Amino acid sequence: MDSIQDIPINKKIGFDERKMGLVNHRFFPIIGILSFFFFPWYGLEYGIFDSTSDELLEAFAWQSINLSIVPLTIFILFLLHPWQFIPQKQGIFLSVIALIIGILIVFIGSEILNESLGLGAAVQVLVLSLMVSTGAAQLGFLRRDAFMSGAIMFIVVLVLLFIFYPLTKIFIQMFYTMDDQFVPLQFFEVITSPGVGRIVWNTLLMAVSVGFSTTFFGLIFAIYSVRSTSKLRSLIKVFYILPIITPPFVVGISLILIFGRAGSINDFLSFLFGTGGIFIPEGVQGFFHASSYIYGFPGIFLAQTLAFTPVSYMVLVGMVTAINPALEEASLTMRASRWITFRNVTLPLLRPGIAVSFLLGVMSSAADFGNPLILGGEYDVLSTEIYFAIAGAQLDFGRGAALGLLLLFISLSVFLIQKKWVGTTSYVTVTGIQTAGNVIPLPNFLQKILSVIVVLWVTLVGVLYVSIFAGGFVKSWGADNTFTLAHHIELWGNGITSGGWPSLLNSITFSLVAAPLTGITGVLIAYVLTRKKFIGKGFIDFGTALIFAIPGTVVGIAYILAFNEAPIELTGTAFILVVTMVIRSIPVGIRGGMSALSQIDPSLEEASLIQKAGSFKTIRFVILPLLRPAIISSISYSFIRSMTTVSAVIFLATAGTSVATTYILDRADNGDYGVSIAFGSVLILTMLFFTLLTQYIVGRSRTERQVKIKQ
Amino acid sequence: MMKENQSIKVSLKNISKLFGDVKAVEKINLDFAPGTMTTLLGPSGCGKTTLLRIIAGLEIPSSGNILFNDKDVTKLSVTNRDVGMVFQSYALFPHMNVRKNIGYGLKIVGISEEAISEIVAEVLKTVGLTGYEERYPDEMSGGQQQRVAVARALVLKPKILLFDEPLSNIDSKLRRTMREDIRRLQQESGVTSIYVTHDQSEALAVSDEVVVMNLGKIELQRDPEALYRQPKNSFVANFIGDANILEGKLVSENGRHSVLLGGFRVNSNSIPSNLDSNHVKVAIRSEAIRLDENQSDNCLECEVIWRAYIGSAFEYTLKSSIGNIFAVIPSSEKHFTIGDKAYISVSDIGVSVLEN
Repeated sequence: MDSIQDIPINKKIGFDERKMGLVNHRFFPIIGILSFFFFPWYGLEYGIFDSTSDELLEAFAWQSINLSIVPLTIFILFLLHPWQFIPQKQGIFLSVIALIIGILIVFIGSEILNESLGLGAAVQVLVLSLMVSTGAAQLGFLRRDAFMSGAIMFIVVLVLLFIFYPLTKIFIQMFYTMDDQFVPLQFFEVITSPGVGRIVWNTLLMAVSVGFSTTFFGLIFAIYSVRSTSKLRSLIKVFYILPIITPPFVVGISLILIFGRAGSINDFLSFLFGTGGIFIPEGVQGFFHASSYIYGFPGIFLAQTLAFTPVSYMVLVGMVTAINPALEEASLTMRASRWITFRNVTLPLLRPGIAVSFLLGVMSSAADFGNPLILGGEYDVLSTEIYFAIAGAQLDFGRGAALGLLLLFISLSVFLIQKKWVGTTSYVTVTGIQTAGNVIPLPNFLQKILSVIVVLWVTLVGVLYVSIFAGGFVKSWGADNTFTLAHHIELWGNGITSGGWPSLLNSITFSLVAAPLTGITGVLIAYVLTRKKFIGKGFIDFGTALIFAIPGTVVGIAYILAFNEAPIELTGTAFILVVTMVIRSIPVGIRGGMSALSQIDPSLEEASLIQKAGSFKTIRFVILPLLRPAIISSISYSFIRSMTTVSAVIFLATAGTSVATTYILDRADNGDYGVSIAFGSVLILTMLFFTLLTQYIVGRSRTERQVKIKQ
Repeated sequence: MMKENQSIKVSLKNISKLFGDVKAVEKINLDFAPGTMTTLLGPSGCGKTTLLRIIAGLEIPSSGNILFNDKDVTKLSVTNRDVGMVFQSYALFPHMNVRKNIGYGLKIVGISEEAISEIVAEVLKTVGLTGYEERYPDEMSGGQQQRVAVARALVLKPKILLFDEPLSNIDSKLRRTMREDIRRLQQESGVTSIYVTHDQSEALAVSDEVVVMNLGKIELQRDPEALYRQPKNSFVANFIGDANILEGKLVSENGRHSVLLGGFRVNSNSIPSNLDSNHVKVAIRSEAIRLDENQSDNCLECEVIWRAYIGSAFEYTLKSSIGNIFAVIPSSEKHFTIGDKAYISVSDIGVSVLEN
């Protein structure tokens, strides 16, 4: 029987020096050598599964003299372990340098030789990287924590490969014309070419306007939902979910249905003017008859406001909830009325949130692609212009690259302003001081005004969504309103390999793969950034900031430039789409992770370390269980985001890897609004289903704990 | 309970820690005798918590060495250092019950589940929480949580026990019983322990030795009674207990030293050497003061300008020719009211001459 006296305390726990040494000298090199023999070194044009056996065989490293010699030599050297004769520290240092040089040779060499790297190369580079990180840990990096060192290495590789490498390619492309001529000043030529100034102005004007409108409405709804005493409050909670699960441009399409040339409003109005006999002044009649008022600035403005207000709402609702009621109570006791208190105490307290939400609105609008594409009309903005530079007959990558960098510059500036100005409130925690329900109600007249606005908004959104669902069942909205199942039959009724099925299934599959990857990586990055201090942290910080700030179209064009040719050819594969989805939705995962981590007492991890758990076990037994709600919610959000993402994937999806959003956009571009809106409605239902499923799962895991307590 | 454990000696040699430009601790040299409880005492920002965390391995010193029984552990990671730590916020894992919390470390080192249950039951008995195995932290009071935290710290037979202001979040009434329990546990187990607090009465009550710190440096290190009686400098005198610090002249008569404060003379048993006789500082404990309505041959005339009743005593602020004096007089003695004239006399044991 073990008792306290007999506990063998002298066990050395954790990934200690000797084990680390063995891993680097034996385990990793053996894996490396095995992959040399069993995985193809070169990239295969048709992928591993679709290549002929000849093609496959040729791709293996041992078939020819090539760069794979470098990693192979390194692995063999490590097995022989010749530097056991030098002082240990120097030996490890030298070997880490050798490893890094090996990795660089593989990449730069392949770039120069124009050879495409395959699975084998990827595995070997991965092994080399892990050896670097383990070696760094042995040298004292991160207090000898090999696990964390490996995790950080993984993040660094991710950021380098999928952020810096593509951005570098864009940057270089800027200097080359369509026929590969080196024109150093092309960037300036593009910037100063006719039309670009107008496009930039359009983009900025729209972005700032949307910034204002989304913040305005977000503020209204946030205050209303937290402070009003009306029963309408619950309505908001339902309605703010809707735009999140809707592909952004579907809202745009429904706007066309309602307000467009053949739209319901025009129908209704012509009914009014024509046969209704109501007197309307000439000018007003003329305005409505122009009937294309929804295209251009008004349409984009309306669509983006509807789409991005929920984000503003989420930022502000947290801040409104977190206001310490004692401050307002103090104001009231000093004889200020509720209105004066609201104006002089409440609103100023909300200023950081208002600033954040404004800047977020600006960034979202500048990056938005789907709505300007559908509703833009003559109103050109940067995101669509980039698309047209490449997708159209022009194929002017130089122009696309220049415009892309311009858009990136705008977005990055706004992001950095937000970071500097507001600091860490860019991720809002909802842990205010617990108010025990003592919420100060709104001044009466304010509540009435807000109620009216809320009702109008909800009505508009309601009408739009009705049209989204109804539109799928109508032959040709506005022109021929007969009920028909033709659209849905075309999409779903012709077998699983035609119509909408391939792209829908692709979307779901890719998103289901991307979501957990995002969840895990996002939490890992959040953990590393909030809890650890190390050399190179600034690099990861900056890389993460870039991920936050890059607009989707810029990602699209960057990935085409980076991954359409050697050394890493990934375009046309499902892999690159999954990666794009992960990159596009990881910011929310990181933010959620940081917010959740800020609520976990750091001494919990310290206690775990003291109880002899290394950092891997601490994360597994202490951090992850406590972060589970945040991880689940970021997985769920990532799924939705990946299902609705369009601005990046539109560049990368091919016939074989088409996704729901590109399909819808294609059909809408053709004018087949019926089919595209039918698909859109099915997409919304799919995501609603998954959202509710997630809520159910999260809800159940919570009640399990409650049951335990009751016993 | 665990007397077989070898108590170890802890030594700090020239430990410094910088956070950017801020010197949190500066050239600390400190020895902790085996089996003792030493308290690091000082105001916020004095560096006591930083020092504790350096000993634990949670911070790496910028320079200097830490030795456990003459073995250098400075580079040893916290996981391998065999320390136990009790945190101010208890740091109990909220998603685990008491058994899993205490058994956490045991599971990590590979003890079997049945053995864990037995060990947990035994250690819960020691801290007086038998039967609490299935409870979760949010179902227990602060005092109970702290006991679980202490149990968890003890269960892996640590070489040293560290306490980081463990009673700060406990109701004041409960603090006394809890610190007695902690002290008793420490003495029974014989583990070398280091305790951090800013509460000086707590420090005096639990420790074999107290180290007073200020601004990253050590002011004084001695046993509680000597510390209280001979604070040696004005910082310590002010920090420990209430002291009136006055300036006067040092006079010697027949080998006996006393300090002249105006016309009033106070005696002290210990006088440090190397003092400028014309300006010496003297600390007079507020409870060493006696108030009389009648004069005596060595007394100081004063007037009561403020008083507060604290149940067991009266706190008086007295105006005199040598300044304002703060006195704490037991309620059993004669009461004075504001405006009264009185005469102060001082008992020798409450007087100490300060070095600076």
